[in-house]
Amino acid sequence: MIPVSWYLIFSAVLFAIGLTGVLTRRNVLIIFMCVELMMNAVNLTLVAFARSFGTVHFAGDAFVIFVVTVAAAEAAVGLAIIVSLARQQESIDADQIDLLKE
Amino acid sequence: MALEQLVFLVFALLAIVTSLGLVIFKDPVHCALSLVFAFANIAGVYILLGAEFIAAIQVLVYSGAILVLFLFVMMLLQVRPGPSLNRLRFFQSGFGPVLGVAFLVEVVLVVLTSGFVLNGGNITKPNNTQAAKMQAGVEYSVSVNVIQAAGPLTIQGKADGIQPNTVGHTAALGKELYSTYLFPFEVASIILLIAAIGAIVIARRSLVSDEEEDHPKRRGISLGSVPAQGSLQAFEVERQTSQSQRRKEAKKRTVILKK
Repeated sequence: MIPVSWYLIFSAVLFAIGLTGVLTRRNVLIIFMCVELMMNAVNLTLVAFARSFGTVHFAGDAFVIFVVTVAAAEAAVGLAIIVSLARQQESIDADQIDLLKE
Repeated sequence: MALEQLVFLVFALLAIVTSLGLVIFKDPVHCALSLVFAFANIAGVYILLGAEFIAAIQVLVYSGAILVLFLFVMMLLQVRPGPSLNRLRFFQSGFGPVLGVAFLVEVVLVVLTSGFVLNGGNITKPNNTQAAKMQAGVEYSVSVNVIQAAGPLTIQGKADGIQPNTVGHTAALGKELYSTYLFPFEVASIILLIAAIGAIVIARRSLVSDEEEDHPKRRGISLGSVPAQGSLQAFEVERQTSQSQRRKEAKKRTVILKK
């Protein structure tokens, strides 16, 4: 049997990698992919806790389904924003996107 | 070490290494491909958890749909590889990894020092050794009335042996999703619908306006046959193109001025 702490540490590592990517990368697309990775880490935590706590409850699993749904919606809208931004600015560098500054 | 733990370690290490590639690689396409690999390995971990349906969702939605969407956008935008990590400003290349490692250390300390995980995941009864013994590790056995006529069925969701004639994780999750979580399920479908419409609207608007700016054809002037030199039509075409050129230059100038 695999202890729950293994799953938790594994997902913490994935989340930390995603966080590092969000903080260091400047390409908006890669930042977005890192956010997806962080969501995946959280999903893993949810399923691991659902397995370790309840035996009858599938709340964690059901929540994972909803998180995946929202992630898909977020990816669709976010990529559309990136596409329209790239058409206007010809750059998807996060440092150069400052339309709301002025 | 049990075989199950060995398989978990292989999946986990591969996922961690490939998701590190997401942070390290310069080319966004390489990042996306390494992320696909990481997602596939995470799906393997889900199977170890006994969540086959979520593993399938992971492969279908994440590495199937979302990552393909990313790759399509990359092809559409012709994204150039960015600067490498050590050429970034210090605030990004220096503080980013430090903050990430600090976060990781914090969470690992919490996981290792909190009693609820080591006691088999039982928060309410931390000293109940019987419950701890029962719930140690990841193991579940669920009784759900899947089919009313067939009576209660026992679900064995162990990862180390798929038993025939038992209802799997998918059936139990489906029952839960369509009974307890029916309302959130419907709301999620509406969210998806709104997101689809919103994505189309956002990505389309700029396309139309850009195309109209560029092509005088769209303004009712045909470019199919080249108009004769000096004719009224040729003059009209020239006027239109120079106008749009001028407008573009003005736009550029205002952008530069703003900066």
